[in-house]
Amino acid sequence: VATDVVAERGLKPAGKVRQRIIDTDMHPHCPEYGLASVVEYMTEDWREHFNAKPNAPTDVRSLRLVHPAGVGIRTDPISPKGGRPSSDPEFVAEDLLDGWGVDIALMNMIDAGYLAAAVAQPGESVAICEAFNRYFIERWVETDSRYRYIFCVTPQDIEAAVEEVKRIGKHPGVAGILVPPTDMALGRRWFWPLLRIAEEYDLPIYSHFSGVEMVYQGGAVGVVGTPESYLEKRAMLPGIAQGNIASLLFSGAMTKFPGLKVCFAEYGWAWLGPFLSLMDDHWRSARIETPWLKTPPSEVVRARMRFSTQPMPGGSKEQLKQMLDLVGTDLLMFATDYPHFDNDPPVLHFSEFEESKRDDVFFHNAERFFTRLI
Amino acid sequence: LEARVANSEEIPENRFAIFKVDGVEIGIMRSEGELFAVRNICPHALAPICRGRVRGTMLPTDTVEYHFVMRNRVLVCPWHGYEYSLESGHCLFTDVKGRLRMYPATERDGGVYVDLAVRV
Repeated sequence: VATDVVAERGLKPAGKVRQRIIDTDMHPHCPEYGLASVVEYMTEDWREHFNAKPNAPTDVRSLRLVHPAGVGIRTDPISPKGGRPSSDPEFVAEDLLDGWGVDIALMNMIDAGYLAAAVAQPGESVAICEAFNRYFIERWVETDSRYRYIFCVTPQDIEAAVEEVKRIGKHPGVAGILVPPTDMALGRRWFWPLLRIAEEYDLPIYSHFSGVEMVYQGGAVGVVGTPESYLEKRAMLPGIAQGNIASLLFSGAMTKFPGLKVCFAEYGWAWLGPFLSLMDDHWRSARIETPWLKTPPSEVVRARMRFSTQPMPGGSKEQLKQMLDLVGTDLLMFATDYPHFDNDPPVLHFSEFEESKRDDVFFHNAERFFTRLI
Repeated sequence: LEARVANSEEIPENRFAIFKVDGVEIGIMRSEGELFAVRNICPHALAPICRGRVRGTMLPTDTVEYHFVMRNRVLVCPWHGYEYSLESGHCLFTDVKGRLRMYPATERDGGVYVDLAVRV
């Protein structure tokens, strides 16, 4: 049924040569909220620990910052088997992979992210990440090779995060390491053991907000304090990426780990032009503070950081062209953000990129960055 | 075309004193027995660069460490902090184009002479 609907709406790419697509940011869910679906992937000790908590987390979105129309996650991609949207790998294969012509989908499973970032205790966050990772590798990655997994590690216990990379980092279905943003930037020395092993395993670090930013202490903070509304928070999210980029560059992390690569997903990208220019200008002036940054910061970003396209900015074609000219398509990797309300069906965006760049944005930039995909 | 610009005792150590020669401001400094004469204009944004500090700088490194070099051979623009080598005139360790205008300076008979027709 879903395929028919998609065909009827003309959402499947068509043409003599089909556009190959790597979706660098889609979200699978467990059928149930919270930990209910993954407790069976925990040790008995941890199961009992969570069972003993009468108010185990189900949904941590705050009333203050929830999407006002209640459509943060699309309500239509629900499997006939039931469960939350985007929780049935077979249904999603039909709806997203076949329906929208996606060849490889990078699964960014942020349910563990919000728990690991701030909602759970450090020990709990370790058990939670491992359980979710076991669940999605077994239930999704190992059932359809088009799914690749951005596995989540806890930012609260860096030794445990390293151990999780050692446990599953060589699995052929994993593509990167999701580190949910916290109140400590990614370049801080606390993270260096994780950055070191990410480099060693050739796994990009993947940053994507989890939902607890600016809500819970421990999550990433807003630059002007707590936002009052969903829209205010949404407008502040690029600042989290900007802060982490600056931290990774100026702390010396990108120098210390010359093979380290970092992906920023869903933070937007049109702001990159002025942001990179700002950093370069100030670096020329204050270089002696960070002499380990030997080139303008933008050069490091262009070599080793990438940004997902979704949400593609609105505006006229001319405005979009100006934004793309300023940023450069080399930095961009296509993403749908399925099944979120603002997801970008690929067919709606092909024409926004020059034909000579389209293959890069929709496929090759990701293929080159996540080196294990092909 | 060499002109006597200052008396020897007017030239300080490791900082520039500024003199006007044919309407052109020239900074002159001595350091470890060497004389430096620099036009008082930053090639970047035309700041009076000779009013900036003279110091060394940090060498670019592959390690996240400081390595101080070029003591008293770096002139720092008082506006943007751009660092220029007093040896080459070039901006140090960035992609900034432009070069200090430097002149030969000599000392004799208790005076300092600068030749504005020659660029070092």
